[in-house]
Amino acid sequence: MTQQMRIRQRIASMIELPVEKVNWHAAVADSPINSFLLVETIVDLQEEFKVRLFHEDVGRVTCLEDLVQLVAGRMEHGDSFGREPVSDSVAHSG
Amino acid sequence: MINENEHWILSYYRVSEISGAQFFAQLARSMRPGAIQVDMTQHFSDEARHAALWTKCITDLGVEPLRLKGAYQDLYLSAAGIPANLMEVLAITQVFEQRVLRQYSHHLTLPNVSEPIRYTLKGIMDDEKWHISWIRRELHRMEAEYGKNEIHGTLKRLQEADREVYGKVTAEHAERIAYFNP
Repeated sequence: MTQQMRIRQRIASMIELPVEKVNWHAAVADSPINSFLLVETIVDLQEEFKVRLFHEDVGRVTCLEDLVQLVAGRMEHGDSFGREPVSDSVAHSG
Repeated sequence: MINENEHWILSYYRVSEISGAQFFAQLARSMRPGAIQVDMTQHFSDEARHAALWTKCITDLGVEPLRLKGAYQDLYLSAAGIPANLMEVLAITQVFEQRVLRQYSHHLTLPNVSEPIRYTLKGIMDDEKWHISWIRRELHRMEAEYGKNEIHGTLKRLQEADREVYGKVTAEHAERIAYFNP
């Protein structure tokens, strides 16, 4: 099973729909996922797949497939952060 | 007996506590075992109890809770964006709870606050202080993972969103909020 499939299955279980019934490309606002459930799903995916997402990442998510690709991309980096953990002496970039 | 504005405001408090309970219920469900799971579950329980306290307070005052659409938290997510990770969830909660504590504290200073309202406000505020405390502890612990700058930047962004939301709510309900500024 591909990483994307595992992520889709996880999301589908969170929103209590079969994977094949989820419209992965529908706008999040039009999907059967309210904002609280979306937050829960985003947090759950990070715990489940051991990745970390940030404000600017989630801001680019317009549909559930974006979320799938975002998490899968983070997993492929091989570490738990999409960017370096920030120390106090290092200024943020971007 | 309470006036119409007070009736609305107490009902708004109630709806917001219910919304908070719903939010934390979902998160508590997903939390992995550990300190955050324990505290978040307690936090959810507290919010639900606060909703019950407001329900009792309102009915003790001789009226029924108004069915209001939308709670303060809904506006928060619109203004601040969806929290991207657990740190942001705690940060947005921290900012929100601080707002609630300020609001309830201010309400206590109003003249002629009836005893049921006073009792309810004081009871809830004791819990809110613990809510702020456990979240502050966890955000401090998360500095090792996210960095102090990231957390402080997030809090600052959310505080700006909070000011925006509070401004909108007070403008939209100016007549009712005027009750708070006699």
